[in-house]
This record gives sequence, C-alpha cells and structure tokens, in this order.
Amino acid sequence: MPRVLNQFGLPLLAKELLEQSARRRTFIIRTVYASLLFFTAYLLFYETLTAGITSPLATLGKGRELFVMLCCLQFMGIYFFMPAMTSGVITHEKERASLQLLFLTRLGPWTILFEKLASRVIPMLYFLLLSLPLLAFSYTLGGLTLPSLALGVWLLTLAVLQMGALALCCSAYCRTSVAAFIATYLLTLVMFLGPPLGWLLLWTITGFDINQLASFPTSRMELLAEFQMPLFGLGQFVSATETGLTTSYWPVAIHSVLVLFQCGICLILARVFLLKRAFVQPRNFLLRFFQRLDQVFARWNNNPMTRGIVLGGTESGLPDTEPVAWRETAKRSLGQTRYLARLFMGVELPMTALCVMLMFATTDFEWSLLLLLVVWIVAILVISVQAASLIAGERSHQTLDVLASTPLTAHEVIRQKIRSVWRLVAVMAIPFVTLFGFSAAMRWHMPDPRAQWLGYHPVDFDLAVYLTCSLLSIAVYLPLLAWLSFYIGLRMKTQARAIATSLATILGFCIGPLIFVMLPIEILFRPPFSSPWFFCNLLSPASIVALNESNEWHYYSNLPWVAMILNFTWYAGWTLFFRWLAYAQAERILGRLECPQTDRPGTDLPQTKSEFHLTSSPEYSQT
Amino acid sequence: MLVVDVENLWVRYGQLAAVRGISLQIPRGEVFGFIGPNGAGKSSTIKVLATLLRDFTGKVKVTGRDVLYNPQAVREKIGYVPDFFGVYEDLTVEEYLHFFAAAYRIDRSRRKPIITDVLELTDLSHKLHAPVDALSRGMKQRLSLARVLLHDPDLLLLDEPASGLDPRARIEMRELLKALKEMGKTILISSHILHELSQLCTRIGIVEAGKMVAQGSVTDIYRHLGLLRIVHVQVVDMSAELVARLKSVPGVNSVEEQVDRLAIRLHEDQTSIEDLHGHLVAAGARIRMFQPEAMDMETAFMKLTEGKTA
Repeated sequence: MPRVLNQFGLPLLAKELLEQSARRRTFIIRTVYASLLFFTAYLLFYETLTAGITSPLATLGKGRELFVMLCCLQFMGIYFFMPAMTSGVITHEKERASLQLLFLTRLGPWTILFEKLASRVIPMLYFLLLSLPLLAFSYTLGGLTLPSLALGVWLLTLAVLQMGALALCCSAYCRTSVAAFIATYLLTLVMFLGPPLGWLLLWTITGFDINQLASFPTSRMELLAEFQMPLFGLGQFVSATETGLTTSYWPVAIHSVLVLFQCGICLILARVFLLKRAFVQPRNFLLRFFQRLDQVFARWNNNPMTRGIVLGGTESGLPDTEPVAWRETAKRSLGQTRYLARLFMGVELPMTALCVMLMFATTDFEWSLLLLLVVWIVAILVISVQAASLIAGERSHQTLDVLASTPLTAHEVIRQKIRSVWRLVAVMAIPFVTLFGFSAAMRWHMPDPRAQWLGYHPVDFDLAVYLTCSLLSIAVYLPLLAWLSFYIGLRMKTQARAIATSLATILGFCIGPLIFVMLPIEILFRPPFSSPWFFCNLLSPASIVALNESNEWHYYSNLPWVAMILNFTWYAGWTLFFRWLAYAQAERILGRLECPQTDRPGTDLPQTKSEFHLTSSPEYSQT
Repeated sequence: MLVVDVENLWVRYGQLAAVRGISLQIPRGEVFGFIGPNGAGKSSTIKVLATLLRDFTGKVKVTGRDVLYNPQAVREKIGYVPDFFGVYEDLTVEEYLHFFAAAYRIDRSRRKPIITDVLELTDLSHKLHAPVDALSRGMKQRLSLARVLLHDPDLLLLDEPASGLDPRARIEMRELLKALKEMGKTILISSHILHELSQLCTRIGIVEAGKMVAQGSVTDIYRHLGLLRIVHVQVVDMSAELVARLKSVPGVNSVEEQVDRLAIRLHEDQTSIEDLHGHLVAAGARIRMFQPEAMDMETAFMKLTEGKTA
C-alpha cells in the first residue's frame, strides 16, 4: 500500500503507515482490539440468541439487536482508541525536531494535516472492518435493514473523523505527546458532558426543563430533547435504534452536520496551530496559569485595604534534608500547597454547585452515579498522570542518571517522589466526600425510585454501609491508583508511554474482569440474584463503587459488609503489592547497582569541614 | 594510591559486548583521557564506574572500594557528568545546586559557602538566580561541573563534557579542567576533541570496539607509533646550505621548504626540540619563529583505530 500511496504523491501517509507496520505495538493493539471485540460480541450474541429462546426459528430477526450491540462496542472502541492513536501524530514530530524538515519540503500545511489524519483514520477503519464477520452473521439472522446498516456505518465513520480531528487539533497545539493525550481526553469529556450540564444550568436558572419537551406534540420539540448530548454519536445511535432506526432521520442529520462542523473547526484550528505553535518550547501550562494567577492576585492584593498582606507564604525556600520531596512539593504545579488549594477550589466549587442544583432539579439520585463517574475520571487522570510521570519524567528529561549517581538510595528517592502524589490524593478526596455527603443526604429521605420499575426489592438504604463503602473506596483506590501508576512509570522509558500504559492498565483492571469473568459467568450459568457467583464482580474495582451507588447489595447476597471486607482487603493487598514492587525493584529498574546491607548510605561522607579539602583550599577560591 | 582500578571489564547489552576486557589504573591526581569512536564502550565504562550499570563482569574498584559490593560508598566518592545535560527546568542555579548539595547530604549550614566557591570556580556567580533552563549550553556544562564539585569527590567522571560546545565555551571548559587538574583532582574524561585531550591529560587510553588499543602518556603513544613532531621555523637568511645542514642533524626526517618557513619533521627520541634549536643557532640562522607543532593526536587516533564499533 505505501508504494501505491507514494505513486499518488502521498509520501507522508506512506511513511506513517510504514512506520506503524514496523512497530510491534501496532500488532499488539490490533490483536487486543480484535480479541476484546470478538470475545465480547460472542458473549453478547450468545446471550441474545439463547436467553428465553426455545426454537431455532425464534432467533430469526435478532440480527438488529446483534448489530446494535456490535455498533455500541465499536463506538466504545473508537472513543477509547482513536484519541490515544492520534494525539501524538504531530507532537511526535515536534519532539523529534522533524516538523521543520517537513515544512522545508513541498508538502503544504493542509497536506501534512490530511495525510497525518488519514494515517490514523485508516488503521481505525481497519479496526471497524474487523467486525465484518460478526456483521455478516447478524445480517443472516434478519431484522437488519439496509438503511439501518448504512446509518450504523455512517455514524461510526463520523465518530472516527470526530475523534481524529479533535486529537489532531490537540496534537498541533500541544508541545508534548503527554499534553496532547491528556488534552484530547479532557476535551472529549467536555464535549460529551458539557451540553447536558449546560441544560442543567439553564434549568436551574430559568426553570426550563428540556426533558419535558419530548412529551410535546410537535416533533420539533422532541428533536430538541434529543440533543442533550448532540455530539455523542453513541447516544444518537442508541436513540435512533430505540425509535426503530429509520423513524426519523432529522436527529441523525443534525448530529452529522454538527459533527462535521466540529471536524471543520478542529481542522482549521489545527492548520493555524501547526505553523504558529510548531517551535514552541515545552512549558508547564498549569504552572504558567497558576503563575499568571499569582500576578493577578498580587495586583489585586496591592490596594489600600489589604496592603499586600499574604496569609500563606510560599514554601519554595531551599531544600533541607529531602531534596527530591522539596522539588516535588515546592517547585511543581501539582505539588505546591497554594496551587493545590486552587485546584481544590476549581474542582470543589463546581462540584458543590452541581450537587445543589441537582438536589433541586430531581428526586432521582442516579445523577450521583454520573457525577461520581466524572469525578473518578478526573481523579484517575490527575493522579495517574502525576504518579506515572515521577520517574518517567526524569527519564524523559535526561535527569535520572544524575540523580541516580548521588548517594540517595532508591528507597529514599521513591519515598520523597511519591510525597507530592499524597498531597494530590488528599485534594482529590475532598470532592468525593462532598459528593458522597450530598448523595447520602438525598437517599436518606428518598426511596429508591427504581424499586418499582426494575421489579426487584433492594435492601433498604443503609447510611452506614453507603458511607463506609464510599470512604473506603477513596481510602483504598486512590493510593492503589498512585502506586500502580508510579510502578508503571518506573518501568517505562518515556513519559507518554508511562501515562498511556497506566491509563490503559487502570481501564483494563476495571473492565477486564467484567468482560472476561463476569460476563461469561452470567451468560453461561445465569446465576440468580444473591448467588455467590456475583462475588466475582469484586475482581473489578469499579463494581463495588457502582453497586454501592445504585444500592444493589442484593448482588452480594445482601451481605454488604462481607463484600466490603473482601473487596477492600483484596485491593489494599494490591496497593501494598505495587508499593512493595516499586521499592523492591527500584534499584534494578533504575539501572543502579543495589546496595548490600553492609553498604549503608552516609558512612563514607566527609563529616567535618576540614575533609572538604577542595572547598577549603586557597586555590579553590582564588581560581 | 589507585583511585580507579579496572581489571578485565566486560559489559554486555544482550548479545552485544560493548566493553571487552578493558583494564585501566588511574592513580590519584591523574587526568586520564578516554578516546574512542562512537560506540567504542567509553560511556559504558564510565557508567560502570558511576555505579549506573549492573550487568558487567570484571573487577572495578574506585578508591579501593569495589563498585559491585559498595556502590553507595562509591557514589559518595565520585562526581559524574553524563554526556547529556538534562535540566530541572523549574529550578534556578542556586536551587539546583542546593538540591544536589542536599542529595549529597551536605550540612545545610555549610552549603552556602560551598556553593559560592564552586560558582566562583566555574565563573557562574552572576547566574545564581537565573533559571537553569535559560543558561547557554556552555554554562550548563560548567554548572554540571559545579554540581559534581559540591561534595568534593575523589574522582570526576566526565563523559564528553565539551561535546556540542562553541569554541569559546570549549576553551572555558578546558581552562576549568586545567584548574581542577592543578588542584590535584583525579579525572577520567572522555572526549572526541583529541587535540584538547592531549594538552590536558597526563595519560590517555584509546578504545575501539570495546577494547583498549593503546594506553599511556601522550609521548609514550607517539613514540610507540613512531610519529614525528613537526617544527615550523622562520629564519631571516634562509639558504640551501642551512637546509642541507638541518637535514644532516640526527633524527631530522625531512625538511620541507614552504613559502615563508621550513617544516622540519623530527624524531624526538633522537633529537629533542631544544637540541634542534641549538643546531639552528650553531648553523648561524637568525631565527624569527620557532614553533613546534602540537602532537598530532588525530594522526595517532587514526593510526590506532580502524573505525570498528562493538
């Protein structure tokens, strides 16, 4: 293929595809994607084709259901994989200082952008093509019309372009792959969750409830209600399938126009950033932002009223006995108390405002699950990035060898390095506590609204269980996140790879057991509620959080305390295991010779001034 | 006393043997130059001495301590400057040096005078509050040297300290290293700038493909290779007779008449430069310029190596 592309004058695309085909990582990702897709699809298909079906003829017409499941899986794959694949596409060139070489060629900026985008869209489309056998199988069962098929393919393609364009824009703007990676996922989160939060704000201020529009007789109103998440392709697809896929094309058409518009904006911005930000130096945006804020606050503070009084002094000073901890906590953006306090306010204030708005907006407390999901995503991103970067960042900046050649032991380096993460963990824990507090307060007086329509009888809300489980989840999971990410960062060569691997591991840790253990159990054995089989859910750390929020302890035989003890002991064990691994293997991974017991640090250091012959020698100061 | 004692050092990266049985001894106060093409095993050897490589065989001692069994004690005795300079972009020069002073466990009350001294030595006092990231490459390398001098190490391991520097920064670095040499510091330095090493080092070792090809003082190596010293001479009254007399001096290999001078190729082991000068004076030459060319390390290097890598 690259040879053909070269003949068409697409050398950059050919080079990118060649590079990808030479990387082992490409084939690992492809295999993982295919395995996940086929395994999950197999289990879901099996469930659909066997549950309550007595005659083979009854499977006829089930093709539509299977197709919807397949598309949903592919949407998830696009949202998770596409940003990771595309966010480094321009930043890699900047990091290797090869972007200027591209500018010197006859390739124009638009050509560079389109070829780069195509180099990631094509592999993603390969991923989509992987599901062709499954699609063919669905099609044979019937129930799947050609327009439905076309709709699915169209929305999936749009999602690929949407995520690709967004990631390309971030890649053109950011200086490093790490920054582009994080920016892409954060913007995706904002893009999907921003509009519903906007509607909520509108409702709080004006009393205008969009959900009520769906019951209006005019289709235009229904259309408006469809657009709580206008850019979320998966939502549009599910919504369209609920109405029979072909009932109304208007929502899909509007969604398509919006997504294409968004792609266009992203590409134009990418074009602007490509040249304007091609040679920017790597800078810590958060630190610069905080420093700007410092200047603004200092200006405001210098007035006749406050007269520049500073309540909390800066903690930079100079290091005393723990230099690594000093640098991590006094010189880094996410380490300094002052800046952490700002981060805390930045998360806590909107969280509290949202909780208050939602308390008045609805009696249904399922919103807390959504909010909790958002807070967990932010916490995972922030803690994981910080912890994974601690050692990997030193490697990337080529400062690790110098640090490793000092008498600081690996144990000391780790203990001091991780200190900044504990501060961050403490800050991130507070929004969780706020959310748990609001959620508990609401549940305390409200019955579970799902008890009636779900047809089961959940146990009564137990405040002690809820709060214990919630607080334990942050007490155990946040350190687990920190140690897991730190250990991965210790092993990885580059910061970008450390962060991506940490996040992928966390995702796998949460979803893997559900797909590979729980789903087969549910489908193959169909265990009843309260079956001990459901304790296997605990293999995923996310399960107990979700079940606690939805008060579905019946899955654990109504034995919440047993489930909690098992779960948190298990994950506390994992935390200790990763901590032990980090300490035990640090010297080896850092490439240093390990210290035998007899070789205690500090034994050979000169202790008196006279031993420093160099500093005290007359030549030293005379030279 | 030997500060560095390496015997039969082997370093392997998987199947590749980067260092193949290197042995070297460096007594206290010596400046040992490590010369070799890229991939010859210089940095690997230095990394072993800096306790930053685990997979090696052979006996490696620093100030009498085996790096394998006493790495922590060795770290306190060495100052390592790698062949790259990664910066803590968020620190100033003062913070950077305080950071490493604390890492070397220097008592806080004594850090300030020590830092003042090393900054003065490296001529960076005026940059005390400058961000490290904003320094020029030459200044960064001098700051690196300041860093490794903080704890007054017995041995300085300098891996390509002058690479990538402009001529002025290179000269400044060379002067700084000379000052350290005069202070009696033991230095192991690797470099590609052969001419400068020959001026600075008391002994040199030439490595190729992981093996030590030659080792000894610069003069020893030239003698070993039979290299000739070129002396440039300008005389007021140049004549064919003078040239003939010079050619008859023992040890003079050739006398080349150039536009404004004579280029005399001399075997130094047969006639010293001073004696050659004496011969010229005795021949009645009125000397305007007498300039022995610096030893030609490039020639020695090219003669000893074949461009092989490990």
